[in-house]
Amino acid sequence: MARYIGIRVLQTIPVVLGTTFLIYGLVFLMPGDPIRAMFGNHPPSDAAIAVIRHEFRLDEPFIIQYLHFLYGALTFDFGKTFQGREVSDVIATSLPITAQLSFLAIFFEILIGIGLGILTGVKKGKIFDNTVLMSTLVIISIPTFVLGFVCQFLFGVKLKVVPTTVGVYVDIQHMLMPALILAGVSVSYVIRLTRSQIRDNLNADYVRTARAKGLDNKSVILKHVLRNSLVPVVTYIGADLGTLMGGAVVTEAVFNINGIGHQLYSAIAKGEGTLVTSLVTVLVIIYIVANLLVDILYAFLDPRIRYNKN
Amino acid sequence: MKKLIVILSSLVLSVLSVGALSSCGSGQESTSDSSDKIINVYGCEPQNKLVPGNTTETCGGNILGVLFDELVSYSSDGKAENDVAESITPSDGNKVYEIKIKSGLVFDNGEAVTSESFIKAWNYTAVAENAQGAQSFFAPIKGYKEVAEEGAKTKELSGLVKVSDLEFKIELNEASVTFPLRLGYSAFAPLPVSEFDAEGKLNEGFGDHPIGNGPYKFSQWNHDMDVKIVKSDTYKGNRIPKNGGIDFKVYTGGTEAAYADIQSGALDVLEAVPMTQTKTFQNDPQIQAVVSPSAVYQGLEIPDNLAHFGWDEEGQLRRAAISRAIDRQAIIDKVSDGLADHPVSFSPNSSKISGATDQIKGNEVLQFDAAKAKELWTKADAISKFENPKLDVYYNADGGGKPLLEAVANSIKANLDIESSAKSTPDFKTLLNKEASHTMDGAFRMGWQPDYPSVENYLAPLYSKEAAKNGSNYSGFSNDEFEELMVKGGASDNIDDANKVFVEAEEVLFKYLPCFPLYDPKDKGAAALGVKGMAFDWHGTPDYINIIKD
Repeated sequence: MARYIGIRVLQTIPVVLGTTFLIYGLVFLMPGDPIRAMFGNHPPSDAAIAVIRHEFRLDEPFIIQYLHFLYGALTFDFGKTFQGREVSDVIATSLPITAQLSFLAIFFEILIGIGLGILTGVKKGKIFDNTVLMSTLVIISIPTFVLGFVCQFLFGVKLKVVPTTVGVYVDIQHMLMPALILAGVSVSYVIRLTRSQIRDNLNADYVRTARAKGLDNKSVILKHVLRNSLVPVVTYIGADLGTLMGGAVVTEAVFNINGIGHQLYSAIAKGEGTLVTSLVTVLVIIYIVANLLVDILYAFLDPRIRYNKN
Repeated sequence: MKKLIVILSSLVLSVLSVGALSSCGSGQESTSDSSDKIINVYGCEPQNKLVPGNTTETCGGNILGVLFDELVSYSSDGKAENDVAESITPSDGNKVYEIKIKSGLVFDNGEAVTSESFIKAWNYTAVAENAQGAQSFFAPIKGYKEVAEEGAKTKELSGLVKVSDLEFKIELNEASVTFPLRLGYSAFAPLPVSEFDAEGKLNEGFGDHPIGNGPYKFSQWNHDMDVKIVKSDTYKGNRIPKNGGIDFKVYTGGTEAAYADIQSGALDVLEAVPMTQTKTFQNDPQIQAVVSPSAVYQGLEIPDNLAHFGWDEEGQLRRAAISRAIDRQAIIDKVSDGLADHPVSFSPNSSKISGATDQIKGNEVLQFDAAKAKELWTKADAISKFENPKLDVYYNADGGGKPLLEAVANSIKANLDIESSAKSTPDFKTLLNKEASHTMDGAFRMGWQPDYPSVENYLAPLYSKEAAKNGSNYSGFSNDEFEELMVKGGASDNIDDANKVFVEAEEVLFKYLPCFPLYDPKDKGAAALGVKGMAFDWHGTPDYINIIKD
């Protein structure tokens, strides 16, 4: 197992190098001059603009800029944003917020997704099953921002049962609705995935054997069927954690959450190559770690999966 | 299975603990009378550290506007009144100004406001190596070129001369009767002398904890979250706050979320209404809607690098034809939901802007007249035939200009029978790059947010030769008559005389039309129920000092 993890960690090095190079290159190739754009209709003199350009090394060739970024990243110095903040400070304040939102969303995926998945899988064809299936279809069909605005207006403005936005109040109470909205589509997929896995496994031979041995229904479902059904579900949720950490831009905007999604969006809009690349590097590492965790979870779920070759 | 349960429950625990750790700071301040209440207003993350001389955008500007007090301040109807200045006395035909500062004024750190506070701050902003964003505001002052350009040897503007602790002299390059009007802009704020080192450099950390002399005192800045300021107890200027402080809540994703917070009462003041609500916000029973004429100018510019659109007779005829072909009232009704006025001049026709008037010869070219438009276009064709006539109009895709520019393109296409379509650049900086480098192959929108309430500020920065080199003259307009009139206006004895000359300058612009006014927009804002005193000041910022809540 340790060797397997070691190999996987080593694999991240070329992945991180490759992505940072690509992303840095893409930002470099974006049209428009980010420094000139900062000043809109009131540009300072060319001499003053040259000073700023030099400060951010924008007057140097691409490869020098990139290598300098890389050297900085290796020494944990990601440089400064155009605003003058340390990039590491930006990451340190926005990452925990996104992490909280994502983990809360994943929590709902597990709780509601797997829970309803089991119930619908066992009670196939019943009214309950059909109602849940229909609801998931509706949630999958509605774009996240529509669902977000509607719930915000209904529960936040009209009924006043939850806060309308998050803003400075980063806590469970304020994050509840955004996390539910963010989890919405994934919950629907998890329900459907769990349900179909359970139904497939219910017809398997080992289930018949277990029942023949006289095990009660509850043990059969929870101990045998569920465990075997969870492998693809865990894969899905694990991959989703990576996606949620980097891709909650829409939900973050609707509920004014100052997470990594917003930081990435505004950094791209401003053409801040260093910030974009630093944020992406962090996201790539999170994605890789999430996938690694999923692979390790497999071994717990299915003893047949082992990573040592001998 | 047990292992799985352990994993699941540890996940749950981690979620809860993250929540518990960060759930601080949501307490409410205790209730007392309204003059102590903190009001929550819409804010956005400042582009730079909070340094007045480095801030020309509104996110930081709105905050700095109430943290600092300048020589003059603007009343709610746009009049410039002496504030830190005891007196501003012109001499040498408005080329030299003698400034006398009120005694007894202090910064929040207790330091006295003196002539040095101004001279050090202004020199710092003007010197090229300090790379301050508002540098160009000091261009009228003598000695600017020597400090602002490549290889500057001196670090002091020769036009700034200290007379005594409370007196200094400003010498300008050219006479300007409107110069005192400019001095209320936050770039002209004084800074504490103790915050500069021996080299004249501002302390690195100043922008994180600005020390001002304004109505409010800086308290705290949580990046991307909020900026808190509280009423200053040493302030003695014109703008005494009626509330206890302001919490600028940062909305990272735009105004939609802020509008929902106004509806639910979580936010008190919002200075812009999201596009999704502009049709309905005036009838929304859950908010107070505020609408007033804006100081922003909105026009369409045709750069002179386009063939057939030069400054000769043909170009003038074609420009006039395009202007006549645009049905402005229809566009206002459809695109702006009627929340705009038909333009009459090169500035919004607002009583808050010194010199704004509708009495300008030639402004009938702004009236829609399809027959006249065709006639002008045919006349131009007689001079030089325009094969496959075409005029595209550009907007930046990240700025919400699409409906407006599409309406303009349709208007041109339908009424002149020439090809015209609305095209976009991916973002504002790409548009700006093309404008500044004169590589735009079509017309584009020009939005101008003024810096001081004078019609002059809508003319010189957009159409002068100087602004074509280093400023916002993107049409390439260059006209000696206009230049002379602007100089003559500046050299007038008083503002009223100057404004008469500026009208003549506008008449020149109406002849050549480097830009066509499209509509006079309105400032649209919202306040939560129970909030009192929400109104816009002359340039569309909420008048923060007068806002109170129960």
